[in-house]
Amino acid sequence: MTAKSPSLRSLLVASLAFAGIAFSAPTFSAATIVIVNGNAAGVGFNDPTPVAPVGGNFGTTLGQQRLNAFQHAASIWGATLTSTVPIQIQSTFEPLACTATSAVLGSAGSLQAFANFPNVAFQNTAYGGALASKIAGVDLSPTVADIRARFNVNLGQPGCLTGAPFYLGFDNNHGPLIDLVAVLLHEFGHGLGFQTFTNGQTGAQIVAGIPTIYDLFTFDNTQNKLWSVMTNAERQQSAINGRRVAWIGANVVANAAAVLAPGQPEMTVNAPATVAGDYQVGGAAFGPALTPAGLTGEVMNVIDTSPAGNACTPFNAANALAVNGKIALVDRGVCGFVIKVKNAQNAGAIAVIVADNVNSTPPAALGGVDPTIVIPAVRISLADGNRLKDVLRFRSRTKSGVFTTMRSNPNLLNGADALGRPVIYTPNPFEPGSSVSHWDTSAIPNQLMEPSINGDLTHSVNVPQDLTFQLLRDIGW
Amino acid sequence: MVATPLNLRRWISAAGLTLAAGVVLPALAEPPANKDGAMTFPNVSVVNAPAATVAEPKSGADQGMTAAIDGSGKLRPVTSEEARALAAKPKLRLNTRSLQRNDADALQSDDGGLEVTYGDDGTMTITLTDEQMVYQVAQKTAEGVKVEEHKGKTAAERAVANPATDSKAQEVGHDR
Repeated sequence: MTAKSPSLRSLLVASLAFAGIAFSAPTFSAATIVIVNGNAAGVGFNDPTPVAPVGGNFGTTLGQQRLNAFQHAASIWGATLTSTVPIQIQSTFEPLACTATSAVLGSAGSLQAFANFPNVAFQNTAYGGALASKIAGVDLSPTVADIRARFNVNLGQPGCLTGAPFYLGFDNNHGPLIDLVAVLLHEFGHGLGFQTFTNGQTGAQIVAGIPTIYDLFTFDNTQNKLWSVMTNAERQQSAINGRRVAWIGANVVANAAAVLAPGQPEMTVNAPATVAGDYQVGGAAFGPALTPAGLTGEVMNVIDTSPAGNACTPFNAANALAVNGKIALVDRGVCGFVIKVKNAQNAGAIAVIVADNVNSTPPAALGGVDPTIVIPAVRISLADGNRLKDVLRFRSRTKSGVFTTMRSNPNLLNGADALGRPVIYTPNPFEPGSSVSHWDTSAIPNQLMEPSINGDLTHSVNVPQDLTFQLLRDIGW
Repeated sequence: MVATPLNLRRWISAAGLTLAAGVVLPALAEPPANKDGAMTFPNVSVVNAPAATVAEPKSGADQGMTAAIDGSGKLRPVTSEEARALAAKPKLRLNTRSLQRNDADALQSDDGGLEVTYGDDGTMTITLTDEQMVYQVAQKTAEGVKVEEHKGKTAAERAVANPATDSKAQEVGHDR
């Protein structure tokens, strides 16, 4: 025996062990997702138009890049879920409604819901097809796909959200384009069960007496009731009970603190007495975080100047004088939030309050990215903005007498209630399609299943970045 | 020719790495496998719709429950043609009740006339429609591209046709 034999054996063992680990890895990621390509030759997934590889997507035709993107998103879910029953997603790219400035990007959802199937934990409760089959251990409807996904084949072409196609790379380098992988992860999430079939606008269950499994974990902190046991009228009220409806599933609650950042933003108007009190705010995804000690200052509103208005251009001398060393109050609209805040910062403001321009409460967070912003910002509702502007009518060029403190509460997670339970999106007025079946927009960091696809999503569906999979675990995945 | 230890080591190394790479790399995103740049991904397969829509029972339980009655009233195994025909009718299960909900109960529910069927084992199947699907609608505005979700095809198409009424859009990316 030579001296090299042990090292050879070690190498062989190491090689096979490595291969064994690699081979065994799929057993830990135990769901297979089948993309059912429903497109005919030459279109959609089969479009032969040559394209250059982009962001890790090596497809050299438009159709193949689309298919690669679908598979990439499905693979992320497949590596996370557990099921012995393959999940079928009937998928097509096809013409969907659009104009030059507006378009249906796509749609997705379960094709069937099931109740009272074998092995189910909760009787008389509706489950989406993929989850129901996973729990039953057999495909409950072998001839019908679990999820239907349609996406707009014309997006970005002239006359269809012109010039704004899907970004098909995997690397999040989408810039201003719409990141298809993020959209797919989100839509597949709905199809896997992140949604209620109950109508929040009417409170009606999909079949009377049959709540959705999602409803069994949706809890209204005001009514102290689950959605599954409410009357239709109570559900109607709950669906617009902003930030007071929480998810109480054990997996989500146990992992909330690992995902959501502490330090919920708060704002108190100290004077004058006519408008004093605590105001609901949405935090900002950019700029420095508010501190527990807080920042107190005098509020000065920016008087819009045409044509840009709304603090979208550098402030004129009068506005700059007004906000210098003060908290600037600006209106939402016309341009992005970071542009407004940057203009206020350049004029010497110490913080910014953005008053919403639509009637929706509670105020959503302020999205955007600009690392050069060094002052904090919050959003308040349209009604609260009008309250403040009403007293600000009497301000001088440099004083208003309106003082406010902006701070963070370190005991509260961003996007959770006082008990640390993530809150569900329940704005007032109701938003069909968005309300109830999403996380609230106050979550920090941004979550995959918020009603908007934010640019800073990581393509993660699990902790420590995201709570989506934990919610799916709660309902039975 | 007998492999020397050095050659053997090279062979084992190459084999091990090839074996490992063949399994691990797909998880990272495998390089193009053909002229169109098709990639392979773990836990995912792709089938074409015609093959997928050919109804083939996927579970033993379903296949075992299928039977036919002969001329004398006795059970007999189904022929392959009968099996295909049965499988091609996803809602036609033996002894299945099928209800088109248009009664008073439907007025209290959100099904809007959804088809509800009940299997022998008590399983309730609700067939969903485009109106239960989640639609994403994008709009170009001065603030950037905004996306909001709508429940149902009708609402989504209305939002595309009447963007001015679509005041609660959630901005994508740089402004939400």
